[in-house]
Amino acid sequence: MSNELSADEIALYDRQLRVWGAEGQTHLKNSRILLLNFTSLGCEIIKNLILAGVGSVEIYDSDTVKEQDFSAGNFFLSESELAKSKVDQAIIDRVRDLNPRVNVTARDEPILWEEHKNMEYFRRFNLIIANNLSYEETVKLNAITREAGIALYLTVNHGIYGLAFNDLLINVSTYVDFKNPLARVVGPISRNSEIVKVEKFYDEESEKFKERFTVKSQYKPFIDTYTSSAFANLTKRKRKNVSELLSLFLSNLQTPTSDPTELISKANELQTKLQLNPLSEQTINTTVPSFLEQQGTEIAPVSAIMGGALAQDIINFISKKVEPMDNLMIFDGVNYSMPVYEM
Amino acid sequence: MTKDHNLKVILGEEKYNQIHNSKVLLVGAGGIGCELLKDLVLLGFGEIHVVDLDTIDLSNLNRQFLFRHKDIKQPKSTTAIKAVSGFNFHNSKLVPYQNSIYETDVFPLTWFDSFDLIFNALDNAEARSYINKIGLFLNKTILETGTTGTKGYVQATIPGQSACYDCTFRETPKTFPVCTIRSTPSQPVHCVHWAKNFLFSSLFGEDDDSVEDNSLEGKDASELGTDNQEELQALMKESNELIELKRSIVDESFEDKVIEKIFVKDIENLLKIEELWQQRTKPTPINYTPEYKAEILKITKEQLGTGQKLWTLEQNLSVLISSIRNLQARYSATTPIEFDKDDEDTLDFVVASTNIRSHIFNIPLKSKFDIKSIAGNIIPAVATTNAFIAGFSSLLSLGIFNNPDAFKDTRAIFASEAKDRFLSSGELDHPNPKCSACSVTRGVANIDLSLTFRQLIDALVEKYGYDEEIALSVGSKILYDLDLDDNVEKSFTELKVKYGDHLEILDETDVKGTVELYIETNTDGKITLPELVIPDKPKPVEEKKSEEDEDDDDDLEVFEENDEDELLIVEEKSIVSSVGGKRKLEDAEDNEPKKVKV
Repeated sequence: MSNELSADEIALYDRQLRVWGAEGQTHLKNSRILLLNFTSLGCEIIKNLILAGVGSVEIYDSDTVKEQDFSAGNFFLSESELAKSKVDQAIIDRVRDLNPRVNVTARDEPILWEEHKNMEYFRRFNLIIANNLSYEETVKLNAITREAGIALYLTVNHGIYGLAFNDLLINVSTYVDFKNPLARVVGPISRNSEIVKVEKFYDEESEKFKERFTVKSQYKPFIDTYTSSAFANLTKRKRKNVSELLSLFLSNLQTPTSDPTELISKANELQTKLQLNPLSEQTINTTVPSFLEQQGTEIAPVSAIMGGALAQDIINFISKKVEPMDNLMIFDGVNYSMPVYEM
Repeated sequence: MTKDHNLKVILGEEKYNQIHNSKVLLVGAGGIGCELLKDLVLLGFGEIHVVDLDTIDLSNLNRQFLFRHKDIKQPKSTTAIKAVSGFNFHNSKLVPYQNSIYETDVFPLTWFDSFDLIFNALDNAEARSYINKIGLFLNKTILETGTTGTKGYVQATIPGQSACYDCTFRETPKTFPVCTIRSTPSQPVHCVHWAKNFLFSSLFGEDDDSVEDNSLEGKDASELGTDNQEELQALMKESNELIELKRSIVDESFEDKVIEKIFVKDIENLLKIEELWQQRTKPTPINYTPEYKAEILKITKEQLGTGQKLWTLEQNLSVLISSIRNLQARYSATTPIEFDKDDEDTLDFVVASTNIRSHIFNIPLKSKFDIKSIAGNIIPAVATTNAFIAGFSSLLSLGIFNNPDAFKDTRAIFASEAKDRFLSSGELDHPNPKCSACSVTRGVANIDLSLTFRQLIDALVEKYGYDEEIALSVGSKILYDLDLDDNVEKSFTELKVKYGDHLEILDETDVKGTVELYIETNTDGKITLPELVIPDKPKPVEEKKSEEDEDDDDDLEVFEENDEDELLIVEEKSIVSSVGGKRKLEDAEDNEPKKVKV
């Protein structure tokens, strides 16, 4: 563990130290990140994390660069790498060049999810970001991260639609904020979180009272989202407002299909299980066709938006300055919304 | 599959082709600009022109991801374009300009008119207002963005339909009464202000510009914050002694003279004014003796660390002494020194004198890191928010492009810190009828600058049916009104009116609304005025009581100027609610620029 920032680091990171402080920066410096699948969204997330100054990043991808990758938004690729490994030396050198202080490595040897020896591999990291895994891979990876105590961020995206999920195990962090009109009290604050400690103090700088409070959040594994009671007690209006992309993504991940009827029927089953309304006409007629048509595609603005939001969330988690999301986010690029659901 | 596969599937063939054949302008290649340029290139916009006057600094590299350490001091515009050409998969034509956007010879109105869309990625309100006006003159849509730390916004201006950049009232930076700064500070920021704007500039700045906002002349009691004659006398004496002191800047004993005057004698003099200390804690002058100084001089650079930790009084004095010595060596009457947060000597001087003064007045000391932030108006900035905001700017542009219903279809986006969402969005607002920018009727006039103002006035009267009671001005300069008719026989050239100026015509009979003409020039002896429909000046209306938006539990914003590449602060509410014509009348008044006669 290195705890002191050098004068050079302070000069380089000046503008961000004013957001998360030297302590937050030190936490970042000691973090070891694994990126599974070098998608366009993956490229945006690690770009932001490398600029922020995390300790190390390993990029895993066993695929080769394809013609269509040049319109997906991964800007570390260049056309001369067509048909080469997605983590070709030249590509990784470009990633490394972003911030020479970060140790960037690559792996293209396929990950054998069945073999337990992978535990040792995964244990080298304290946070894993996984893009576009299959349902089976997702479940296996989540079991591994739970057993090894590794934080996990999952993403799935189809064109202008996206989903992100995080499992931060049990996260206990202390935050400082201005005092609300109603003082914070020890006890549950949401489905998965409780405040375990609150201290009020006077902040001389702002000349206001602030609170130092410790939040304990019990994150849930990904499979629990399929049986979540998160929406059981919602008002009618709120229930209606829950993004139906949630069911489209989750059911399509579990049972991949390109048939709209099948997707609609699976998604409706899930809507029922989650105590949500049947899919709306709008979703069936407009969203489902474009969702299916855009399966497996990515585009730069969506990667930039989701990558910016998720990298900041990861920084919030690692730097312990701001509460990270809990635990499922939907990106809807048609309606310009990005809700977070505590499943 | 083809190289364009993703874009064609997501955008559709038609939109893809439109984008591919478009020409767009990106103003700014800083934090948001680098991100936007990347997005626009990856989307395959046909032609992208990038304007940025600035060069690259070390502190940009944490977020302006197209730049590397080896690029420091290089122009942002050309470096950014070189960097993105590595992934210019769709062969966008890329054109950089290392110029100020205000250069009308490089960027005439016709040049702006050649773009389909303008992306703002600016760092200051003045440039945003300028581009806003250009958009209004040309009826061109602008996608405006800004970030501060983890906050940020994207907002489109669609002239004639949506609110424009200047429809929203922006807070002006806080000022302090002179006496708070000069004799009764109570917060670190007061001491920073004193150290930077009064002490530093008095000692090392230009002789006459010493301290305009801290001088006592021409100020009333409210600006001064006191009417205590004894106090004012003391402050006056202090200033005069400082001018005297500056004469000994070449002496070896200068450092001791400064410390003894500023941190001992001036404080003793203030203590004599008993009235000041009846309700306040008294300041304590430092005890500066040769023995004490000898101890101070033993402090090493290593002991001071990297500036994150608080320094003791003695450490501050040691930093002060060494910075004075460095500044003394650099100073001459012909090369005065300006404060710059990146100039270590000037920063050290300000940090140390701030803290010594804070110590004297029982105010908490601050680290060099923190004082740099206050003195340098540093705005926090991170890569993530810029990526997010630029991503939305480019995403929204796809929906705005060639869309006659853009006003209805697009949204204003704000990065949200609420737990249940990453953004909040709202419909675009309607124009504010009292806006000083978009309530004005605009057009382009073509004028031979050798002609006289009289000829212009005649032409205006004839063309638009004004009577002669009009006032003409450019920027803050009034060039003609009924009481100022000395100028009428002068030529435009004599009055320094030039290509690209915005000439404002105010109907002093209060019938017609305000008109602003963009001046283009000819040498054919002609004045050609545009066809305009000038609406009547709106009658003042009673303000309706404002309602709160039901959905605005968190989010903040409003925009403040800074020297870095990103801006804004304060409350999103004020934007959201202003973007509904709900803003208060007095705000509009404050937006009205003050004019001076020339």
